[in-house]
Amino acid sequence: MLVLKVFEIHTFRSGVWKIDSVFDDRDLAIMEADRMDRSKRFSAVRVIEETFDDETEKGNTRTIFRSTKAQHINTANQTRQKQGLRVAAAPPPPKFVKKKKTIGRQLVIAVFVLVAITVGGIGVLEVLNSLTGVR
Amino acid sequence: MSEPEDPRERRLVLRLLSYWRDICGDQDFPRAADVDSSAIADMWDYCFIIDIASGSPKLTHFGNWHAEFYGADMSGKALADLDKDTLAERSTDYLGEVIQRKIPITYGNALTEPGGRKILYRSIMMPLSDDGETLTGIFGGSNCKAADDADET
Repeated sequence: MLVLKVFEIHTFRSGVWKIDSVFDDRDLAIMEADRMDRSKRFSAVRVIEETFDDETEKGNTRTIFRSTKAQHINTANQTRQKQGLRVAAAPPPPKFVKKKKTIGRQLVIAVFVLVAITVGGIGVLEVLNSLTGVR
Repeated sequence: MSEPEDPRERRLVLRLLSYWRDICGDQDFPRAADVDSSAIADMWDYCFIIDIASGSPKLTHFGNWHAEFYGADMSGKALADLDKDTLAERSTDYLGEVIQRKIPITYGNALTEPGGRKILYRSIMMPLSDDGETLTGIFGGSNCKAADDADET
């Protein structure tokens, strides 16, 4: 099994990550990324390890070095992504629910008033009938 | 201006990369004319420059150290003329990848040269462009140590 590995240094420029250089040596790539980070010339630096399995023809990538600022950018991106997912997953429903409750209460009151009028009306009719002697 | 050198970072390829970044400035690539041999006098003998603007790639500079190690001065010769499995040939055999990706690439490996000499080498190639867009040259360098030598290259 032959596993190929390369290490890419990425720099954060104009709001996007760009590939800066390619190494075949992990230590050398990290040493250079660390030097670049300390130079303050780049806003953020990271090293990506790219692995390719020649047998399965499958590749994989993982970050093996992040400058402090790269970690901040990463955290900010993750926070934004999480916020986006929360909004999409649970849209705010309070007004709609409140309206439902109001309509229910009004309906109960209306039915109560209707029953009261009906019972009252029947009562009045009974009184009138007894007074006129109609049976 | 070059950044202060860390004692850990004396490797030729990292120093050349640092110099390439310096002459890049805010551009994506420096021009071939920006490479100033006097600014990297201690490394110049280990460097090479390849012209890729006109037809087949050609060595326009082949450092003195390389000429001695290779056994001939290949300045002005086509890259295709380099003998197979020599340090010079291995140091430049990923030219196509550098041209395609347009970024500095460094590779190293063990090598047994045709004469039986076993070495561990490391090389770097970095793009040059006269118009800031189309690659016109490659600035590179390499060195080596004997395979049984414990020192870093």
